[in-house]
Amino acid sequence: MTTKKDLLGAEDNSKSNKNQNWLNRLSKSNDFVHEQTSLKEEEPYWLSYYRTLISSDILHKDVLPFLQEQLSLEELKRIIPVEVIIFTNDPKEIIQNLMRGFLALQMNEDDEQCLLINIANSKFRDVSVSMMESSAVGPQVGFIEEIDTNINLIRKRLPVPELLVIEMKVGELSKTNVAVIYLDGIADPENVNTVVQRINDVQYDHIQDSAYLSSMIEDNSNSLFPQSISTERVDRVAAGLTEGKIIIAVDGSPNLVIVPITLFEAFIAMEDYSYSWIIGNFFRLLRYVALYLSTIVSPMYVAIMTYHYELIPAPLLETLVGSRASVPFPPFLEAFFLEIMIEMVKEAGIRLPFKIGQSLGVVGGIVIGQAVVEAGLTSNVLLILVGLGTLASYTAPIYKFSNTIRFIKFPVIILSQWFGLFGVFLGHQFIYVHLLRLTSLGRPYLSMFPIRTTSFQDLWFRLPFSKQQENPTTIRPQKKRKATGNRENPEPVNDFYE
Amino acid sequence: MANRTLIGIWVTIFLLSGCSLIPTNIVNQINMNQGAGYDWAGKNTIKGTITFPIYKKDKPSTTEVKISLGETSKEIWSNINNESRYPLVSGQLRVVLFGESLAKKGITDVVDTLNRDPSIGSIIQMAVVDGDASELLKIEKFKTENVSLFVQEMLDQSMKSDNLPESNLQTYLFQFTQNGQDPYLPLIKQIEDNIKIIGIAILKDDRYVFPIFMEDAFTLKCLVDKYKQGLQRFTLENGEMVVLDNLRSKVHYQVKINKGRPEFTINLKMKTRLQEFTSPKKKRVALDKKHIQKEIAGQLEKNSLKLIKKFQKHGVDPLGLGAKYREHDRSFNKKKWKRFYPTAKVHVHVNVNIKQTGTVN
Amino acid sequence: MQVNKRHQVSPYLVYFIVYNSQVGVGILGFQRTIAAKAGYDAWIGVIVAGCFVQVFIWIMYKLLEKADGDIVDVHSKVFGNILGSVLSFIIMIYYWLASVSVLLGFIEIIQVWMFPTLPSWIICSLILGLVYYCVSGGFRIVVGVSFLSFIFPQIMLIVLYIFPLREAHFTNLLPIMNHSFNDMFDAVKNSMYTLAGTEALLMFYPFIRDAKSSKKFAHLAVLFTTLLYTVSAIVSFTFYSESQIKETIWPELSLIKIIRLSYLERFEYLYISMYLIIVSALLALLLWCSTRGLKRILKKKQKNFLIILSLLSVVISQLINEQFKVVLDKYVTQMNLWIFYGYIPILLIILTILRRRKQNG
Repeated sequence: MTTKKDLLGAEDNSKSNKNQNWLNRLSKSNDFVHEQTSLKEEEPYWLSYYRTLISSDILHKDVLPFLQEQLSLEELKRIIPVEVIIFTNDPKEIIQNLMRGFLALQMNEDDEQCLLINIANSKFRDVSVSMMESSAVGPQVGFIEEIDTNINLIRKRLPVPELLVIEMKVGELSKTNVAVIYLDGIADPENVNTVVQRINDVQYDHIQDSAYLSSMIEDNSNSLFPQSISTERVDRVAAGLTEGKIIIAVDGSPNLVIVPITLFEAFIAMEDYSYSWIIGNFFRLLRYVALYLSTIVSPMYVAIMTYHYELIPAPLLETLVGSRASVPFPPFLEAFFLEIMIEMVKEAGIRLPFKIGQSLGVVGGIVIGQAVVEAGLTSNVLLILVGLGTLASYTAPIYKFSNTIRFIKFPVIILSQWFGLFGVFLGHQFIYVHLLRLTSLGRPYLSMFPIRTTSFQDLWFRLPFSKQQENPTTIRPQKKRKATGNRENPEPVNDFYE
Repeated sequence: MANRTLIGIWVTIFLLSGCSLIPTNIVNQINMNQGAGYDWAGKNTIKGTITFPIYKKDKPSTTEVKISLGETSKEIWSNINNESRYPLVSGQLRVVLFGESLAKKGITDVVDTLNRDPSIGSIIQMAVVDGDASELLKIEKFKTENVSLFVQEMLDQSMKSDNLPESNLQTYLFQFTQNGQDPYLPLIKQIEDNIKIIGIAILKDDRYVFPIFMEDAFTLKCLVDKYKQGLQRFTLENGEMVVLDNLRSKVHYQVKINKGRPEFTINLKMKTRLQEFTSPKKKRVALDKKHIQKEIAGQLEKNSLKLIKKFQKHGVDPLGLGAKYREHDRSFNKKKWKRFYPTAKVHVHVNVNIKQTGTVN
Repeated sequence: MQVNKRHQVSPYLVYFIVYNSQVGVGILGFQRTIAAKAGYDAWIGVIVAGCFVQVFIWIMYKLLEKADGDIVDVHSKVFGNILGSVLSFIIMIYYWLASVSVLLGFIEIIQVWMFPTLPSWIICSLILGLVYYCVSGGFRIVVGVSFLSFIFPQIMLIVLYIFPLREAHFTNLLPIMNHSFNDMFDAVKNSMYTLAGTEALLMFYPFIRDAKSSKKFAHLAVLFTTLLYTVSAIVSFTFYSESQIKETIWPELSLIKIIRLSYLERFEYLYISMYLIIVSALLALLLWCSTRGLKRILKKKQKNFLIILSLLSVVISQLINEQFKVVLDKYVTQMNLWIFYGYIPILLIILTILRRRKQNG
């Protein structure tokens, strides 16, 4: 029970200096508690902990009762009913664990040996419905900010030992726990290595959200298109894992990052699978059309109204020209102004407190729109087109992607102002070539070409489950075929004619 | 590094050249010429009439009509441009009318301008006016209704379901440049305050020679076009009147070379539905379908032959018999054909089939 | 010469690349040049030219297989390093000149049909900027753009043929074979140039993953383009009369003018804008071939050559006038015919002889 001070001599002096060092460092903060359980100096124990990090329940119930007798640290380790107890004299480890909410138990004040007991307070938001991604049917469970709960939710869905978790710490100041999760035997080891290596290379002060991390490990951070999907839904993550994708979970963020992805996965919503495959495909096609249209509607309006009046058929002439008859601005300014206005309404809507938000939504949307048309600043046809375009851009299941779609419109509108219809197609061709060049973790982003049969099964359209037999080849999974055996439609029992 | 400076240079040049590199045609800041009329106005001058709509917010549009003189159609244009608020553009041109006076002299100059201009469409309607084109376009009634659109859609619907054969700039040019065919155009007339289609104008090369009125127009359409829908009244020998509608017709030409001269056989098949049947006898009589069919066929054959003889007399060939002859004879010679044409033998066989007779017999 | 496996493409993509290398701006106006002498029998000439191109593809594959690399390798094996480099350099210059001629053709179309006042250098630099972005991504990007240029515009345009076919006069094509052998030969020669482009295979052969199995795709692509050009010729011939087509500079474009949908009228503006996709794909392929060859001969970075050639093209496009353009076109046509249809088979023969000598001696 004595310290090693007198046994090791001078060396110990420096070590005891170090001991006092961590104590001094941490004592600067007022919520650090360093006290003794008994009143007499010689008697143990000395407790050190951050009052704000621990759960006092566990402290009172599971630790303090056992400190009545004066047992040695080793015996205490055996008795105290907490699962993580570390016996150490490494000051770094002590500091690290104290920051996580551990309790440092010393026999005497200057001891180097500590018993570190985990009494951290882990109260977070309860697991509930995902906030940003909702769907009409299907599982609603969403991740929360705590990484262990998240991994718990994933493991419950894929209870196989091949589900491997690699843990790392990223961030100088935030020391965030990051976990890379994948299915061993399905995910390509090259992908996994790339992800781990890139995360290791990240040097930043604090990682607040998984989005920070995903943009730091992206292939091309100058691109508008997201090269990874962040999602709150457990079913999406689990489905991705079985296809060979790699998940990155960041402590403190309810969004998990799925990587590598292709462009078409941004159009997939998990509830496609809850409907019959024909209806699911219909909705998916609707999304393709809606998102494409929302990038093309405003530029086409600007191009046709500014340069190509010949394209308008006679019956539409009266409507279109009449609606613009008293507008003093060129179509470009009109369209730009309306688009910016809608973006402002949306931004303001996010920041407004709940109670004001509702009434202001009505004001912003309906009244301002109506008033702008009445005042003759824009035409009502354009208002409808811009409104529809913005609405269509929200059909994207991934929020990041809908932002991309709404942003891409602007350069194309500018190009259509300069070069008319030619400019619109020029802009689209630029975007296409950009998508061709983009890679997600080294894999091609646009899986439109080369055409792979697996893309037909689950990527562009969704075939019935009996036909989905292969994993997508674009990310080169090791296991090519899924566990098949799904039956086709059974032979109908036809006993009418017997 | 070089990339960046290059991009920088391009961007600067773009920004310097202003926000609009190309002259814009903002849709409410232009006057869209929708209809044009051309008349002859003395030695070498043409009187041009241009109509364009003026759009107002929340009020129906009005039509402006402007007239000017000039030697070429583009000159007329720039003259009118001098008195219009917004620049005059011709991309939405829909109908071109030729006054009788100009049509008789030849319309090639104007048509060539229309063909050459890439902003003018090629399915614009053209028509000959029995009278003055500018008078027709100036009708008061149409100040609030768009006269050019009215004429264009009137001609369109007549071609679809009435007696006008299909015609527009493209078909005119095709027939005009075709070796062995003469073009034809619709003929309209202003009757008091209304515009009415009175028949077809037959042109020789590009000059208007004589009109065909609605009765014969029906026959001509049967011979050159196919009917998809239409209505026609026939008077039979014994005074009975038959109205057939839902006319569908197909025509087939055969050419036989007999001793170096061509002989033409025209086979016309018609499928129709009986719509009205009146008989001078007051009693209700059951109709004899076969008899009626035969009679109508006979009438059509007679009318066709009469029409063709008229064409041959005037030396015009709107049916395109020359073109059909050329397709079957490798040694086609234009001069020879000109000699043959007035006396060429033409046979017409008509087959009329009345499929239904309504809900009573 | 082996290329990194990561940069190679699957064999079936050869279909799209060969298709893309052939279809350019030529399809919009070639109907007039081939009908100049051979009249309406010229469509037969197109089919014959297609057969020649098939033979040519076969010769190229044999040649490249023997040399196991691209044309630069062939030249260095046959003629040694210095002379071989000079000859390869000439061929790279040909690729560049072909790209300039395509670019000028497209710029002319835009300036005549859409934006008359837009200066050439702006259009040129826009398109070349896009092409630079495309080529600097590597061969796979070039193939991706070819893929899109087939899927998106071409299929839609084939569907659009329905409109003119509805008004087709198929009898225009009669009588068949009414022209002399010389006239037909002229038509074949003109069609050969329009169908040209497959010589890009000489440069991208090493990039095909399994070259043997890609042969059938290349032949299929040529078959498709031959059929496409023949159908396009027939559609134009049945739509226009013979003298009309001699005056129409871009028959196929003028054909698109007649399409009218309920929400969109003058389709040719959309068509030309969509043509940007096809033209940029073709330019990307040609410039990629050219700069890659130059990189292998002169051993400098590919991007530098790209920038130099692009700048030269921009300067040429602005300074050129009509006469020079005609001379350039003629020059490129002649180069194409002599180099590829005359010289390459000779190369094959020489290489075979050299190989045999090596084997024997």
